[in-house]
Amino acid sequence: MAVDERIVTEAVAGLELKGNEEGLIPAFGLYLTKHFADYYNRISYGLLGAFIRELPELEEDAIALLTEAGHVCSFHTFGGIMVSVEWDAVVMPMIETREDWVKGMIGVVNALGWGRYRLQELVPNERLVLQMSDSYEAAGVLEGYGKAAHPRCYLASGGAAGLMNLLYQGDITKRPPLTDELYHEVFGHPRSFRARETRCLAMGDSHCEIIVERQHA
Amino acid sequence: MKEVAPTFDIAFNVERGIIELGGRRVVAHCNHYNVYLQRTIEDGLKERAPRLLVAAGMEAARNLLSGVETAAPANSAKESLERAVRIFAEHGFGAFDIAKMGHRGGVATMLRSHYAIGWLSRWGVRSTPGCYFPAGYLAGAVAVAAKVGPERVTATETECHAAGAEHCSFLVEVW
Repeated sequence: MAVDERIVTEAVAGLELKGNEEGLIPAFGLYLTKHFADYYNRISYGLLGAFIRELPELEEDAIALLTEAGHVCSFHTFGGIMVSVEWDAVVMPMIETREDWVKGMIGVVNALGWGRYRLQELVPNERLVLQMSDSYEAAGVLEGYGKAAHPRCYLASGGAAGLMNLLYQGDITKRPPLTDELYHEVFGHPRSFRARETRCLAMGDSHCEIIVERQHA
Repeated sequence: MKEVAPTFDIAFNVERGIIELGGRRVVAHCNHYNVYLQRTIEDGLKERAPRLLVAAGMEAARNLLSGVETAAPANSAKESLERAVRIFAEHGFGAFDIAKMGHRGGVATMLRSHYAIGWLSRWGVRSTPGCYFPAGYLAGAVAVAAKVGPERVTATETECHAAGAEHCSFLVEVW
């Protein structure tokens, strides 16, 4: 049975995750929030804008920091989801190959409100190409700052790289503990995966496109 | 009978992968990302970071809560604030106690702030209060409930669980 992303998306959306009596959402081994895209966009592009205006030589460093936040996000959120009982119940029965883990995770992501992700290409252990429509980052740039000269989906890029790293570098299928040590081992490896955004809604493209490959082939 | 705040509707568009409340995008993220991104902003902007983080929280809250008000107007400022607090809690940020706060300001407290416990678990105790988003959210909620401009409301976290206090406390002032 192949992974049906739509079934996964609808199952995750149907979990009805909402705050408990403490106003917290403990799920997948972490605390979730259903946050406001406006907030993320304002603080992320506020930081980037400050660097561009005042320290333009450090623009790439600011982008690297925002992308690194995406790596952290994917390691804990995607990783936490992929070792969760919910994953076992909904996705695992459909998984036949390691690559199905990517498809299952795309189904999950499509329930997170980040926009619609579609798998364009997956070369095992080598390359991932994702297409995104309605990226909340790109939409926020267009709304708040106008058309961009460069791609702006840093969370999505970091997340996509993290997905490949979890699967082919950290072997999440063996359910390792998601410790800081594992994070540094996986993302600090010289052959770990990194992403580049080649199309972006914020630049006027019809959709965003992210390519993930190993740093040193 | 206890007054019940009006409802709010979250819309999920499965075709577009979009969740909306009050016409604004809602996106799921975990404590690790939230506090990591906040620290990135604080490290990058230093003393200017709190202003950006609180202002962004206020703007995001005003955008969203204004949309909620438009869709289902509250009968009173009190109802509007109660709904804002419920939205905050249902979205996983923590449970505000606003017994000592109204649309003219006051003090709100929170025992288990998402940002505070997230910060503590990842980075340990802070030297300064760190719940910027909750502070901004409170300011935005009060501005919407009181129907006043954002420039007339300030919210400051005076005690923070992440900085060693038992709970987080926020002073909201309206002028």
